[in-house]
Amino acid sequence: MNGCTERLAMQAYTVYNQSGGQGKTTVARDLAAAHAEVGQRVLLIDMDAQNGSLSNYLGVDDNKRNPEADDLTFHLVEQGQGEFSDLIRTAEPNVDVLPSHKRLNRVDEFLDSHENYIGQTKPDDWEYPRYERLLTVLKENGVPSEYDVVIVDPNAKADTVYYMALYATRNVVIPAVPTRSGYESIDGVADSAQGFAENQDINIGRTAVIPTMVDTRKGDHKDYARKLRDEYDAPVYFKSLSAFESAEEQYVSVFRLFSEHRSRIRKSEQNILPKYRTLVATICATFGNPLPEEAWDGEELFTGDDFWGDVQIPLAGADVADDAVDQTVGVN
Amino acid sequence: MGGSFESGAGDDPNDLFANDDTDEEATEEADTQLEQADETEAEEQDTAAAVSGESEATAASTGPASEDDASSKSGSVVMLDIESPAELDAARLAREFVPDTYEKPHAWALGRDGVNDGRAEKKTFFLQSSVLDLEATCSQEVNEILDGDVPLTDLRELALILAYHQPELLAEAAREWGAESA
Repeated sequence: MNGCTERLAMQAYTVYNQSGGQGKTTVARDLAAAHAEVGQRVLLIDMDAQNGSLSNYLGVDDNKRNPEADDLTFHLVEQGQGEFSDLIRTAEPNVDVLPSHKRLNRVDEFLDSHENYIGQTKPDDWEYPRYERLLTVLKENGVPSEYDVVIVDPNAKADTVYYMALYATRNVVIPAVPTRSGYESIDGVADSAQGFAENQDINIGRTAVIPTMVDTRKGDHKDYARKLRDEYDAPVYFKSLSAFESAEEQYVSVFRLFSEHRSRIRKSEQNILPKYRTLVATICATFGNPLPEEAWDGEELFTGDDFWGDVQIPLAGADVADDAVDQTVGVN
Repeated sequence: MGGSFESGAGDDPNDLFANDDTDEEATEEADTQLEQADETEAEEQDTAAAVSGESEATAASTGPASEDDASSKSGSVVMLDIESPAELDAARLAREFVPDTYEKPHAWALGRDGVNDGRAEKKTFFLQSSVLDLEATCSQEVNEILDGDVPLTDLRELALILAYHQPELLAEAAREWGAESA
């Protein structure tokens, strides 16, 4: 792609919680659609080789079990069977997906043999940059110039894949259900991320904590959701609503579910898209690239409700928007 | 620099992606530390490999509907006060049919562990697709009224409870399908 200098700086983050069932994949899918809605080009990298992963949600997992198929694992060890760009599938407008493959379950074996192979010609004290492999592959294949946003969805496990994702993105978005275990899972993420950051001497940002599957009729849910808001600055929360499952059913994001598969939106569901927009505004601002108000072309953003209180949306000032955005490129 | 996990933004990926030199420096610095990381990783990798096998063949299968179920129950223990439509008190009936095993103070849907809590019986229904459409429409309406998200399992059971307290209406409807002459 050309016109790089005019673009926003690329943003990258990993959606992660080592506890399963926190809504990780749903959040990744719908955040991608929310970025896409304001015209950002998004690459979703599915690094969860389990069933029911992101590429399955978006209906692009047909090669997952095909032993002949090329995949990211091969490219991580410089054994790509074809072009990297051929791996990428377009799921929705502006949303591309790099699907996962079962092979990724054995990524450590592949990395070990890659290490052995290239290590033959290296000095004795050479150390294999295992965790840099994803970043290197993305860089070599021009991902930063093709996309505005890269979102990685690893499996719910502090393993090599997750650390590669952290190394490449340096930012983590953490979905958590508002229960005791969900609340405590944030500490678990912090532990693994902190340890890895120190180990690698890198800075990892906790971009956002997002309460998911909140049932506001439940007292403990309300308490824990508010704790997540107060202690981790959670910008929005998501209720447990059947729309998310319906989207899964249709292999689309919740944005596309509403635009193409629903004749009308239920009252209880009317806040879903505004919440994602507010979340995207917050994430972009956290990265130093606040979006201008007119990015949404009149679409509604979430400004709070009785349960959650008022939400400040960090947007770039309307008249200085372009300047502000340009100046932030490369800063930080 | 470096070595932190804090609220806000981490290292700017644009720097990472743009500048090869910085990366190589970082690699060299981190070399010794990587060694330690690899050791701890190794343990986790073993389990990763063990877990990676799939268990796909576990989809729940429901058996065919047993035609005997309905008749075998008739005349047995379940005897209810039958009320006329005018007297139907939905809230009271719903309270009555909260499972006996449920003892928490909260309303049932809020305190139970899962939607199938206390629902020991599994039945397969033969239905016309038009009835399922009706169910979907009704579900939507109920959710509009409550501004909520009522589980289908609850909705179905409530529908049965309410309908089964309307024998006169049911009889009238069954007559229309020719029940008398059957």
